[in-house]
Amino acid sequence: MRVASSQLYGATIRSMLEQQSQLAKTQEQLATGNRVSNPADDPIGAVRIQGLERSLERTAQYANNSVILDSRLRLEEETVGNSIEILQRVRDMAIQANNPVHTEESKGALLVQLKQEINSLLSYANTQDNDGRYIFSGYQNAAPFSYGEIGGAAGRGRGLGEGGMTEVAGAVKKKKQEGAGAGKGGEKR
Amino acid sequence: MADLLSNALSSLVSNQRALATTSHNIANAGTEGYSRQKVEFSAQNGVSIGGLTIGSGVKISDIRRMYDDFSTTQLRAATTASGQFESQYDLAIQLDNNLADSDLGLNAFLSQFYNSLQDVANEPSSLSARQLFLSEAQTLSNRFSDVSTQVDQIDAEIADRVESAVVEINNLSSQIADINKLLSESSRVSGGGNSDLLDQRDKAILQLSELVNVTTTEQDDGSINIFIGRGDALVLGGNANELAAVNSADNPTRRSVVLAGNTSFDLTDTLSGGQLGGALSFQREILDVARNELGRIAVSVASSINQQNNAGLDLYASRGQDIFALAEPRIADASSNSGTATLSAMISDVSSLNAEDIELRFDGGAWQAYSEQTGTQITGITGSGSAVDPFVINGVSVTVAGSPAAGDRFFIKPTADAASSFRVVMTDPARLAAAAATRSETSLANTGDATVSESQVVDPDNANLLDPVSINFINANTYQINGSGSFAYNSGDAIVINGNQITINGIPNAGDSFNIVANTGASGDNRNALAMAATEDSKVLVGGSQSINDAVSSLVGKVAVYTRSVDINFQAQQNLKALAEERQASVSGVNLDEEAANLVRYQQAYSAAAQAISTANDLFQTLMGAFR
Repeated sequence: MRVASSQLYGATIRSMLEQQSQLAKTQEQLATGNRVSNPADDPIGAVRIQGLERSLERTAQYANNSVILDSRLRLEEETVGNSIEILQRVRDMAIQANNPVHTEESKGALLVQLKQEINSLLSYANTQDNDGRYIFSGYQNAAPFSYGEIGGAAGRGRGLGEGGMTEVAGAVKKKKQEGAGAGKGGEKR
Repeated sequence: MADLLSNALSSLVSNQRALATTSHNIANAGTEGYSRQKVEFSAQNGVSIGGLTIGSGVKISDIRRMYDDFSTTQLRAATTASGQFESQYDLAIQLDNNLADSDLGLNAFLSQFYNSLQDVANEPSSLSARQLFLSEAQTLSNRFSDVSTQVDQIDAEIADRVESAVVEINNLSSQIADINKLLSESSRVSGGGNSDLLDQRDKAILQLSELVNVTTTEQDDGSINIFIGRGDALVLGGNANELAAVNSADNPTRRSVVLAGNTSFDLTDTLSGGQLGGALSFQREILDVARNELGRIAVSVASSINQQNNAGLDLYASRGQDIFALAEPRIADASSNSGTATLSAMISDVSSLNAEDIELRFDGGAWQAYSEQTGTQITGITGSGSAVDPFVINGVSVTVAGSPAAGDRFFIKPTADAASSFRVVMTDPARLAAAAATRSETSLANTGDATVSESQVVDPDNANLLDPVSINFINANTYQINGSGSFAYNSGDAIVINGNQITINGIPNAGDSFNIVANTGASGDNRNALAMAATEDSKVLVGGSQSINDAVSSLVGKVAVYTRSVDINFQAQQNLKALAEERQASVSGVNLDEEAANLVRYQQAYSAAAQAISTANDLFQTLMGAFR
């Protein structure tokens, strides 16, 4: 084939430019550490990358959610655990009091001790977290438990219940709800 | 004797001209579009003397323009195609970068937005988490408007490109017309084509081909007629028809291409190929689609979040309000409309929305809707167009007021303005409705072991949603609602009252009761915030088959695939163009070695001819000497 002089240069320059543009592309990949810099480089890959990026972000958010849930549940666990200990001690005292050798004085001392235990139980039931929210008040934010009026006696079961009457369901459910919310994080992806 | 001299003279003259042509070739070796010229020698007819025919020298019969019609046509076609894909790629890559950048793309902002909702769900009573959510919402709305501004900028760039292409086309077509005039005059005078003028004209036509697809027909007088679009004449002989770029009838931000002599006839849609055709097809095929898709994503984010926020209770224990607002569908009337009808439109069903614009036509009796992108008729339209019973077209409710005339047309762009107008209207973070509207309660006096589920709002629009409801069991299998009626109880059945749904499980005793009450004071409730965060994944688009994330991915994918395909086509057409150029150059291009050889050849012939003259002189001197 006849070759024009201009063609000789044209072909060389074209091939050089092509190599240069490929070199630029490779250098860009090297510099960014990304194979796909525009979605058009790999459309299917780019869509997948977007999905994965969202999953990554979401998982990080779920991890964050779990940390918050974890600290709340720890506080609740600790509080409930302490309350059980109090109930144990109260039970011990009841057994201890069921003894004819007790004098009025020693019974009085037991009563003082009992009152203290009940007071601590009430304060556990009205525990607040570091944001000042009552952890057993369900959706509401008011002290859920207080002494009732019945019989003037402190710490009776019914009295305790009255303050928290409408909240109990909420309190139980709140825990469940939070569990479900953060649990979702774990389940979904 | 005289023959020797005149033969030598003819050779001198011819070779001199050949040398001139060779030097012309050498001079233009680098000139774009130059076709090499070749000198054709032919022997002059001999003279008969005494039965013998003696040659009478040489003449130049032709200075031929080395030219191949086929490869020129091929080069034009390849140039048109490569120009088209080049401009499509240039524009598409901008859109591609804007939409999907890992830091600036829409995806990253949507991700942060939904994450901030989960943060609110973690601490529903925290005003700082709520404030952060509002900030993220604001950032998202800024991003929507940024992306749509970028889309608008690409649109503006296309308008500029159309304008400058029109100027350039006019320039080239008047050049071609001028050359046509010169050529037809010179063909009348000398009967032959002018090689360099032809080259100039071919170059102009090639440049024109790069801008837009043209067809050419050659006339007997050597001039070429040029047509664009569906056969509209751009150049006829020595006359050029000017094009003009005018504001588009249905969209003033766009330019339409018309013939300057007949501005009412819009050529825009008939133009194809070349940089102009490429920019226009990019606008039609992907830019409009991307803008509408973007709008659809904005609409679905706004409507799903607003709807869910309206279903809950805020920190003031009031029903939630809208968080986002955006523009209603854009409606344009055709300038040719003669009726008095005005249309109004609103989006009524996000799941039926698509990325197509709607053209409504009134034929004198009925309305028809067409997709502007595909041109096909839209079926499945319901309603009569009145205020109480609007037309519902692809999820858009359209109401007609006034009376239309036959032939009237309206253009509805359902989501074109949605992304640019997407804004946050909520300012008070306490107004974010993180709490569900109602809660269920178990009476403490219950003695059975039945438990009630959370109340779930299934119909937020129910007028009695917040009214207190009590469910009292008469016995283990029957209950009353608010003290009346008698309903059969089956453990685990869903009970729906006033838009609330609860489920009671287990065996209740007679006298047990459960309540549904307004969820006042519930600063710790995050159920509605969780539901809002979950809207990210709920399939709210395309008839319930696509989530918002899917829609973003599909938009990015659509633009990426388009960009990739025009890129590949561009490279292929560039290679084809290079091949065609090579092919043309192999016929028309100047080879300097060849020209150097010609120089030597013609110079030697010239020297020999001079020697022949000298010989003639010697002969003459010999003759004169004989008589001295």
